[in-house]
Amino acid sequence: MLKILLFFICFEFAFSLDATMEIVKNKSTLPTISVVAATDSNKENALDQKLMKLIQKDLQVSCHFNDATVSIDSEFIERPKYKLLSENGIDLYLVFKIDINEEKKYIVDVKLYDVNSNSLVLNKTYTTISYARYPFIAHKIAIDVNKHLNAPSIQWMDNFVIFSRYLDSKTSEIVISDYTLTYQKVVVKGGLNIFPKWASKKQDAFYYTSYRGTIPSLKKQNLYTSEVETLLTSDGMIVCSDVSDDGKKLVLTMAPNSQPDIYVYNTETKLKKRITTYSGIDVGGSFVENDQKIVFISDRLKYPNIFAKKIDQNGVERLIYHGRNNSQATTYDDFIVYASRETDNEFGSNVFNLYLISTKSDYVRRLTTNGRNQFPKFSSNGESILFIKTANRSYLGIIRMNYNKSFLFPLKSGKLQSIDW
Amino acid sequence: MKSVLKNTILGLFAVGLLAGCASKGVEYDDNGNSVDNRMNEVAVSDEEAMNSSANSNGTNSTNNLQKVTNESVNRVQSDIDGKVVLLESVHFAFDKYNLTDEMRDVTTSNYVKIDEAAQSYSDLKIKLEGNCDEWGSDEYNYALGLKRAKATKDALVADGVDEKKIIMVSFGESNPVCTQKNTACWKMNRRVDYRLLP
Repeated sequence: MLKILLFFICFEFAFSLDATMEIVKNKSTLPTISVVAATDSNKENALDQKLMKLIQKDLQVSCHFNDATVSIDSEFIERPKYKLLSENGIDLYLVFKIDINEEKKYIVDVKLYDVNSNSLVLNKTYTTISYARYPFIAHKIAIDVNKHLNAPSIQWMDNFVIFSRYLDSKTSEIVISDYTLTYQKVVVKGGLNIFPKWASKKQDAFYYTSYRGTIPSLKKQNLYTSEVETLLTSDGMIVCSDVSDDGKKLVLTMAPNSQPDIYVYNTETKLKKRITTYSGIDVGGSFVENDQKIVFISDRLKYPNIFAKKIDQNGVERLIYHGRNNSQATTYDDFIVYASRETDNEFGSNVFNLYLISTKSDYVRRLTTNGRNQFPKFSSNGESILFIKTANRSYLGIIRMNYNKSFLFPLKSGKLQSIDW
Repeated sequence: MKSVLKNTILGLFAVGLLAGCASKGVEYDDNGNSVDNRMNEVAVSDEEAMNSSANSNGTNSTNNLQKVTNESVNRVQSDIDGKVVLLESVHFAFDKYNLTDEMRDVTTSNYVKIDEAAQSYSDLKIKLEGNCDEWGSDEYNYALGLKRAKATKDALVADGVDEKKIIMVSFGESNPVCTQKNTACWKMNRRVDYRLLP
């Protein structure tokens, strides 16, 4: 018993901390779940089918379940056909029913059955007043099912993703969405508005670069009141690249002296401090090591690569010894994921791949294999990477690093400029 | 050996999941689990509506600008008190922000036209807009566009323009003059445009 307990402890520890662990796929070891809309569910606008597919997708993305290959229908109040489900190798049976009440409120009742023990293990109700918000109902159901089974957290599925998309020349808009891009709401429109960044983990405000006026400005917008505050302006460019965990400090790229450098801005004192002074390009900074160090991109070797600098010291440390064009990075604890341009082709398409390294070892792991994969962003628990894939259209990608799996969600219109979550 | 161990761990994880199912009581929640609380009040700001006196370039609406594209050379037209000034864009090599001798000649040619326009309009300001092709990462591309604008600014200052009269802005890859996927197009997009602000 003690040995099994130790195994579980080791497993949980590995899952949460070792982002470089290579899991060998073995589908037969995961529980198989069947998700169905009850036959007596409301079918308005095919919401039952959309919700079912999205719950299935969420559980697939969690990597903690196998999809059932057969679908066995039932009414919501009906006792599940346990024998038939078991014969089809189904361990868990999730059935939901949608009702729309007189106030046009969507009510989703969910039951989860454990087929092996012939028992009902979860019974919950979810509501929304808006059809468009059904993706968050799906995500909450998946999170609750996952949580009920004590699997590693997928709470991040309920987070907003904020992104900017180019619509035309010098025209973009800022949008909030769920991680599958199914729900979308434009929050800034008109002109060129880029590089949105959440102001805190509460996701109630965000920073972005606005091109309203003669020179670019950094603005902060409240998500719920649309109140906009201008923090800083800069000749040339200004971008908020990172926000400290407490939300009080920002890493900025700005160029008050015509020179793109890294600055740290204190939102309480309104004072900024210049961190880099190199005469070329320094951009894309992010905090590491309790906000005492900044990882950033610089062309000081005559090509873009990733460096680090302690805030109160002069020395600059080169972090990456692989690749000839590494121009984006995201950090989590001692891990860095960076985008590397694999080709140097002026006359055709170029390939960008994502790599994971640990600052504590020489280990390098390639996370993507082909195409144009850029703008990596770690999840809050460090377990997943969100990124932009550009092909004939833009995709939001998610890499589940502990499971060697990735998923792509297409953007229906426009081109993704930047993302945060 | 490693794989076997991992499979064993995964197997135990799966058993744990199923054991979790069986051991837990039914969880009922009849109070409703709404997704609406944080979404009801999400509001939209409209930069265009806030910016009715200026166009999306951030330039004054009285400054009538127009792009003139001619094969591989891009020119930007500015109207200064009814006088048309046509300034040729400066182009750059792939991933570079230094001026070639050929482009240095273009900056000098532009300087002569700007100087002439400044004779009759002393408050003239010059806005340099740096641009890139689509092959960089976005934030790096904005910096690359800015360095291209800075190289052009340095050339203008060396020719005799007061640097206080020069404004720079980088549009990264957001402002292509050509959207086809070919070498000629990407080359045209790696450029600095001049705009004269009265």
